[in-house]
Amino acid sequence: MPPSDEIRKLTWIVIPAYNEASVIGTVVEEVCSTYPNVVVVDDGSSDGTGIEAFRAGASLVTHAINLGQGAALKTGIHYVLQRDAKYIVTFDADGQHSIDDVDTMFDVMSTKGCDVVLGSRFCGTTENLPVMRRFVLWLAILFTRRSTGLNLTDTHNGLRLLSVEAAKRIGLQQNGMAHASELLEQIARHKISYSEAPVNIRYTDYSLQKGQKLSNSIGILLDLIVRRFVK
Amino acid sequence: MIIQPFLSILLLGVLFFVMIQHHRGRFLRPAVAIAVGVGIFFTWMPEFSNKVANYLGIGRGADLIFYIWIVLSMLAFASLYITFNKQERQITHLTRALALHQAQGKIAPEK
Repeated sequence: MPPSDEIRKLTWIVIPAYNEASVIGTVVEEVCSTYPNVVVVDDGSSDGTGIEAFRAGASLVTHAINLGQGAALKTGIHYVLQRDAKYIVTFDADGQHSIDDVDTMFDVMSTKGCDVVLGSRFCGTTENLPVMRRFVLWLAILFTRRSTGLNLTDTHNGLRLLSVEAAKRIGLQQNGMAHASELLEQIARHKISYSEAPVNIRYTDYSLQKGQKLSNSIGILLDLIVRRFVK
Repeated sequence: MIIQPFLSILLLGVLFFVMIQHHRGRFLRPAVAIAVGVGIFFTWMPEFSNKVANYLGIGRGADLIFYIWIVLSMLAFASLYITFNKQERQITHLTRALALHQAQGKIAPEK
């Protein structure tokens, strides 16, 4: 059952974006059509991403310099916590997510009574997922399952639904892409109730070009290991 | 005997540079002073480095100096890494505070 208008009004969609001017307008318009509260965190883009997002109807928070997706997400969460948000959705800027999946995630949240719903492309569907990308994701799942003990099918999906209570307990420290693993570690550490929901990921040439490569994944892994010792 | 005065001047230069860094930690200056003192001593008395090396079971004094250099380099690297991380966190806090202060709410739709 789709969420009520009241819930939609209490939901904020947080979209971290870095140099996504060519797609961000379309993404924001699509999201705004069903969820009116959207904040785009322009993470120091040089291509006018922020202006495009603002014109399309999003609230805009701009980092003066590029800090990374984790830092942008944290800024966005800070922003919505200062407003009347009750639910927070994290959403990628490159157009690979579908806003309709958020309705499914709300359904899972109310059915399971959990505080966090994580999107899973492997419970749902993926379009044009390359073999190498599948391998990278498999490595990430393996590492995160091992380090957090969470039994998840997809550990690096940017589509998540959080209750405000859960968002307040999760304090991301990782500025870069390692925030995805860190978020799961905190869910495990704080014993926050969670569930997965099937989502559809559309891989396009554009999103594949912007996404994580194997070399980046090794860097993320090292970062996570080092930061475990150096706080 | 050309290298010994040259190395001594270089080491004293390092000592001078560290001593004028008033904002550095309280352990750095004594540590560098000791390292420079030992370095100058071994430069002028290389046979002592051989004796210390033999005592430690290393073999040659040159190898001992090389191992010490590796350890000191790793410590310097770790120190730089910690400093870099601290500064990165400070920059992140500053950037976030500025961004939230200058945030722009969405434009109300035209009626």
